[in-house]
Amino acid sequence: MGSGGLLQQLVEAVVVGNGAAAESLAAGALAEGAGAYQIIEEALIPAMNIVSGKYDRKEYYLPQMLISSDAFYAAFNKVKGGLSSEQAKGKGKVVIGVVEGDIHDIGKNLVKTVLEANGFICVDMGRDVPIEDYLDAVAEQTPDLLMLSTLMTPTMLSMKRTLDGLVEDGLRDSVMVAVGGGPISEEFRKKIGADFYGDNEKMALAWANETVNGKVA
Amino acid sequence: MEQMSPKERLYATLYRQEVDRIPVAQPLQTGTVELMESCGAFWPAVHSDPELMATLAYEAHAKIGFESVRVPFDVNVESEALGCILDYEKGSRKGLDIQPSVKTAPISNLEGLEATPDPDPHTTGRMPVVLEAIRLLRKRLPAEIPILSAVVGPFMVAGQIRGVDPFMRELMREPDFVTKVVEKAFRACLAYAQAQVEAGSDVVVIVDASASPDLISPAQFDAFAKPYTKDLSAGVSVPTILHICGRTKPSLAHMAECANGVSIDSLVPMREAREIVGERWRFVAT
Repeated sequence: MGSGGLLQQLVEAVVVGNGAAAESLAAGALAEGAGAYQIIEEALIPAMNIVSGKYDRKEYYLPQMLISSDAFYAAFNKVKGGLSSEQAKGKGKVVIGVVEGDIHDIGKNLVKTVLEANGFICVDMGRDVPIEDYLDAVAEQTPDLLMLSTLMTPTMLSMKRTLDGLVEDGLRDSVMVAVGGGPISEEFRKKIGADFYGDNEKMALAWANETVNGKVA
Repeated sequence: MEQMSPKERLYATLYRQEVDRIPVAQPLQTGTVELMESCGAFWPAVHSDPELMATLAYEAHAKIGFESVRVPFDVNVESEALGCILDYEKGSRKGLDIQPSVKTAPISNLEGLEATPDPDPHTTGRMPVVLEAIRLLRKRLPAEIPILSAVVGPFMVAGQIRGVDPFMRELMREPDFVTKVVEKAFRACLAYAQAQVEAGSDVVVIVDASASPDLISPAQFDAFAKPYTKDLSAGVSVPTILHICGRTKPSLAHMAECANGVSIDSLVPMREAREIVGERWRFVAT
């Protein structure tokens, strides 16, 4: 079988969340001569777009999304070593995390998976992350984008403090900041001086694409 | 003109009888920092001390005028009794304004699950603290003010003791194991809820945040959450209210089958909820 058939099977394996199959199909495609970049472009990105579409249409819920993400990473980790250094830089670098005091990271993980599936390099800070850690990450990693999430009302204050910290440390102009999560709104975004508010992973991806393209141009 | 006492009014609402006006009872926790300051009982100490817990619960009735009180103030009493290690000092204010959360989940496999003893609500963890707070409130409150006590739903407790991340994946990959974890949680929840009623609780509020359609599908809710919540509700002798967070619209009809009342949050417009629940309409709070 040529790598084309394997790539189609890989798409299906990711969509149904079969991690073992996704990993061996990715290895098989490499062995058949497909390039790492080609496997990502022709199988993994389309697969995660299908998964994300099913999630938006409520055909998939969190459990289905999680096992598809696992299958995506099983294949992605198999092939990413084969990316050229230029390709490995991706479209842009994103520091992403849940703010201090909040442990709800489902939305953040969803956004991260969709961004990685679409060629962004994500530095995942995790959840309940102290403000100082975000400031250090922005200073040291020099990301293009910073994405902050919270699901709870009390921790919206941590989001504001993180933005304030960026200003105080003179880092605010070095990075574009997006905020999201249940209680967040466009009004709140304006109030704390972030650049973008998004309600779902599709909006986050569209903004990330626009922002890095704008930078290049 | 008012003819009913707050407790009669709440009971009548939950049993779908006529009321003189809408009850102003609060099924969710009432621990605001302002109330803590006005009564001197602060989180996180409140969570482990029956006297402080009763004091803060009482304050919501005394100061705000809710026609009810509600204990406890967190959603990890059950999971802790089943072995979770909690962090009581989250955030920059050391737990003053953030509920305790699970630091480590105890269950990683079937052997571990089977080796975990069923909690005794009178002796295990903070269950006795909540029971004692209910008894204290029963003594201090006028008899006509209802005491609402919360028990976390078996599905949510199962996620807490297994860890939400692996639990959600196992829902797809190992449904038999998931069922066993939920059954374990169910036994603990039922014994604890019955002990709350014995201690003097008038209404049991079942909080099942992870059974939200924001997370799981209606089919998964039907298979892994609904039967246990329904049995839990049927297993206590007082009326129950089921609270599920998030955009619960797709589950409302199913939620209404589980308890006497349904509690939703502000993400669900009241009018739409009423249209869905219709004849089965009982009680909705935001």
